[in-house]
Amino acid sequence: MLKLMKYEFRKQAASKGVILLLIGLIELLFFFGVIFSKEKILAISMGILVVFTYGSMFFMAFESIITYSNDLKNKCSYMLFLTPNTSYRIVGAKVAAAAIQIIVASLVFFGVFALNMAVLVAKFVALADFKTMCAKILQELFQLEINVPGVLSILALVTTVWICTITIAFFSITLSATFLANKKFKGFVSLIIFIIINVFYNYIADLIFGNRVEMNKYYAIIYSLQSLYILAFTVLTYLSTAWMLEKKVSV
Amino acid sequence: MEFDNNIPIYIQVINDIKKDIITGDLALGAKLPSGRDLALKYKINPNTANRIYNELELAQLCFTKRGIGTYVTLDVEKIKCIREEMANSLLNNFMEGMKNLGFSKEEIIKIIQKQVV
Amino acid sequence: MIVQCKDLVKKYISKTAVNGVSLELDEGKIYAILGPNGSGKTTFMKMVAGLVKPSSGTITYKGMPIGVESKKKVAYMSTEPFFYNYMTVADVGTYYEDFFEDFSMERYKELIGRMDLNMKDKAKDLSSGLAAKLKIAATLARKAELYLLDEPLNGIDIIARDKIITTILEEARENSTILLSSHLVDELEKIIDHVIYIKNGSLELIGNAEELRAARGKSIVEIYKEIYA
Repeated sequence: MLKLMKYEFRKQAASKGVILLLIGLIELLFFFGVIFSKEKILAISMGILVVFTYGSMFFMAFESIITYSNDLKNKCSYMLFLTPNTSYRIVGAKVAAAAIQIIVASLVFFGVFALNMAVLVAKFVALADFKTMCAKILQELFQLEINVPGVLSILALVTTVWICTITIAFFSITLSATFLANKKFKGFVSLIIFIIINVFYNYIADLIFGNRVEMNKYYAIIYSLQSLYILAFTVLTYLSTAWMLEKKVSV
Repeated sequence: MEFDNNIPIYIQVINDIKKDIITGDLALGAKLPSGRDLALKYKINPNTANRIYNELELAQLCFTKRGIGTYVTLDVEKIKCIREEMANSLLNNFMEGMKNLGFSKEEIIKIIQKQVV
Repeated sequence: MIVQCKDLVKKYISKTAVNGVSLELDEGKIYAILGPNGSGKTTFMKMVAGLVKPSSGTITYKGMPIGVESKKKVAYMSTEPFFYNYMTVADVGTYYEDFFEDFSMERYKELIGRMDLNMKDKAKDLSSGLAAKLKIAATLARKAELYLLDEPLNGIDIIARDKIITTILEEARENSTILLSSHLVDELEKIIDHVIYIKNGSLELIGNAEELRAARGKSIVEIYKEIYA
């Protein structure tokens, strides 16, 4: 399966290069602002960075999904499906590759943000106080504790949601391919299925976990449990996708 | 070599080899290519190549030394025999063709004499 | 017996591609599967390769169902190019080496040289003729038990066709089987053992090439014209 993952990374390598390049450019802008004390540029570059982070995450998910769709649709599918690998391994490698990419990307973005914040705090001493003040406000207002388990639970939640989105997309594409083989509106149908499943599993999540937007004292536990639920759903969609590919889909 | 795809390939290759043996292009006792090499040489199926050697061996035109290879026969008489056989075959076809055109035996002899001169 | 299929059917919404085909392929032979476009040859081959799942009927490789184990031993070459766009000729070799135990990098390099290809060429920049040669080089560099070659001479210039035929013959061993389909039947007449004629998804005729020639006094091509006229 490692070999399969190697090729998944290679298929999506070009865009990662571009992302790194763009981060580099944004950082250049940021450091320009720091060195020459141009506060406007500092603010703008941080703003761009935030937007870019969101954009990249979306893009990476999108890319994993499109790669899967192309692998099923184009003749390149032969490359994958002629190899002596079960569909479980093939899809598993794709999911693992996507997960690794997002985790690495998150770490990179986190690192860049941390670096920038450290630089800013060093430059503007007042900011350090601002940070402790923020933490205090959150604690008072929402009885929230910003601590390690809390942060981890948030990370776990975001990561599992992201991965689950991808496996649901894989499932939708595969389900559509099972019945519609080579029809033109296959893509449209898979989008509909994708939306329906998302609505469905969010509905179930709401039933189990109540209104998730409200934050309360126990948010760390709740988020962890939610992550488990989403993980289970991820496994379910992954297994169904692989099963359909193995038994039903012809390329 | 040009093949006629309407008649079995193996027969055509056998005739080609027979010809080589008769003319001496394939000397007495010469080593013949392996089955696979024969297949590659004539660009034919390897199984056909094996069959060709089987047939040649049955006709006693070659013999196989196990583990070493296949060789042209050393029997000069046998080769003379085959030479005559092939000549007769050509002649029969010729006679058939000429008779179908309505030539009499005397006319045929005259034409041959003219040709040979 | 290396491949066996019974009442094999593949139905699509708009047509039935393979309509109840039963046949057996024996080891060590070269088969040609012939028929006009759309007769079911490619679909049949893809089912043996495991790319297409049958609608009904059975197909086995050495008694096993088609799957991971058969894919290790079966080398399929499609009519269209199928390598990833970003790959170079060298990348293709590495890919095959990564996934197929029976792939020989040495043999691949030899065949690449024979076909006048370059390791650094990008797959997507190759002309259709060179792309076709690359497919063949990659497929025949495997010491597979079963080769499925769909139109191996397509897009290949006349001079190179001889090279391809020789390369195919080099892989014809006692323990390998070759199934190829082609419109250029003329060029392949000499190398095939058995011929399979498919018409409208059904098996029309299957027989030994030399026997057919001897019995009917006709070439494989002539018999083809008879069947499909």
